[in-house]
This record gives sequence, C-alpha cells and structure tokens, in this order.
Amino acid sequence: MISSVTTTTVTTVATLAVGAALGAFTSALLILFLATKEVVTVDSRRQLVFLGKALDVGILPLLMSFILIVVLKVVEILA
Amino acid sequence: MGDCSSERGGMKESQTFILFVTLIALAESVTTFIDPVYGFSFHSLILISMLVLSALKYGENPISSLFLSLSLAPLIRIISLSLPLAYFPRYSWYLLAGIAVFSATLALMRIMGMGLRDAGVTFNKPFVQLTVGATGAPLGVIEYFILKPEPLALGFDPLELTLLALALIFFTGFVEELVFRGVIQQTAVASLGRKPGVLGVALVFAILHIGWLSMLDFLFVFLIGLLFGLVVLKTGSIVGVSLSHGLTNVVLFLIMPLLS
Repeated sequence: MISSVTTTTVTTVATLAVGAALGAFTSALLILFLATKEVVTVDSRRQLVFLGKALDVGILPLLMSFILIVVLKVVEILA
Repeated sequence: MGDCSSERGGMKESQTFILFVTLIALAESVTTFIDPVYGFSFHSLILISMLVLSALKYGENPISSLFLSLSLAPLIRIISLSLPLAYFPRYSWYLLAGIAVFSATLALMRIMGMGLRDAGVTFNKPFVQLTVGATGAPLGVIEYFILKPEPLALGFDPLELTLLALALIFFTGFVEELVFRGVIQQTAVASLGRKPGVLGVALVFAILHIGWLSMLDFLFVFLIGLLFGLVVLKTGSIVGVSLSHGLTNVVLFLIMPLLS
C-alpha cells in the first residue's frame, strides 16, 4: 500500500517485508549502476563514456537512499 | 528525400516517446494498484532503458537529451519508494525527497550542459510571474475539494507551519517545476515540437499523480500541467509556475485542512 503525498513524495504504509524488499531492490539497483559505470568507463567509445556520466543521475539519489537505510538500520540495532 | 527521412525520424522519436509515457503509466499503475515492489522494478527497467537509449542516441541531439531528461520521471518514483520516509516526521519527507530529486536533476543538467538560467530560473516579466504565482491559492482550494487530504500540520504552531510552507514551496513547487517544465519540457519541445512537447510533459506530470486514486484529480493536474507548460513557453521562466505550484500545495495540505 502506498500513500501519495505529492509527486515527489510517496511513502509506503506497508509491512516490514515490503520495506525490506524495497531496501534490497534499492541496494541492488545501486550496485548495478555502480558496476555498469565501472565497466563502461574503461571504454573510450563516446556512447559508453556518455552512459557512464548518465548513470550518475541515478547513482546520486540511490546512494542517498542507501546511506539513509544503513544509518537507520544501525540506529535500530544500537537502540 | 532528406525531408522525408527526417520526418520519418521525427515520427519514430514521437512513437518512442509515446511508448515510454505508456510504460511509465503502467509502472505507476502497478505501483499503486498491485505492489510497490513490482512497481519499483518496473520503473527501474524503464529508467535503465531510457539511459541506454539516450547513450545509443548520443550525438543525435535533441533526442538523446529528451530520453535522458525523461528518465527523471521513473527516477522520481524510484527515489520516493526507496527513501525510508515512514521513519521520519512528515515535514521532513519533502526535504529528503526534494534533496534527492534536486541532486539528480542538477547532475542531469550538468551532463546536458544546461545551466539554471537555461532551465528557466530567471525572473523575466516579474509582474506576470507574481500574477501566475498568485493563482496557486485558488488552485489549491479547488484541489482540496477534489482530494480532501489529511492535514500535514498537527496544529496552529506558527514555526511548524512556516517551515512546512517553505519546504512545500521549495521542494515541491520549485524542484518539481524545474524537473517537469524546466528540464523535461524544454527537451520535449526541442525534439517533438511545441504542442506535442507541452502535451506530453503535462501527461507525464498527471501520470505521476495516479497514486491519489482520483480521475478528477488526474484531469485537474493534467490541465494545470498544460497551463504551466504554456506559461513557461510564453515567459521563458519557471519562477511563476514554481510559486503557483508551491502555493497550491501549501493551501491544499496546510491551510485548507486546518480551516475545515
């Protein structure tokens, strides 16, 4: 179940399983983007160089989400 | 002969654009009606396809820029689903989601060689911009009667209300207008033409409101998207529509629920 607030802000009013699955998918997508970036940047073909830069568009916000998820997990464990 | 092939190329671009808009609508429907996890995966596949397509079309501007900028639409949903917002107080949701979307937009603009001024962050025709900005109040009242959302603020605490209003104006008004009208519309108009560009972006904007489960709101947002798109096309600035969008949300989520 999602709760829509504005276009950019949606929160999942969901079970722990959905939250965990979204966290896992976020991490997987971030790893995929980072790995692809590493692979394509060794090639000098201009399309691949461009793809390497374009991936940053996804990497930046996903990294923010990932850091937030990790911090929350650490706090949860310590609390 | 050359004209004919470029026309065919234009048709192909329009068809690809329509295909992606349809896919975004499907992904948004899956997110809303079936399961957010499936929706997340669907949006991720669309995002990856758009980034790859924009790289394959590299050098064929403005079509490469169009697919790159359109990738912000699935990315917005991916960001909003991936952020663990439920753990935070509601007023900070806009800040967290807004910073993530804003950083992605700035990264995208840097890749496209687009500055803030190019994206319409200019105070052209200040009187027109302020007048457009003021339309946010009646628009917010109308949307309130369509959606009747729960109040964002817990009471009449002036500090909380001010912080929430500022967050709504900047992180929903400005950031969303920068994305849709400043970046996506500009590339859509450059590659598809004025009418299809403005129409297409207004449709994408409305599609991202499917989560409200209101056909009336979908139509309302689509019309507002068209209106905002035309204003930006005419004035070359997103300042007025950003103010209007932000004010709409302030009236919709803060003022009207407290007054009712």
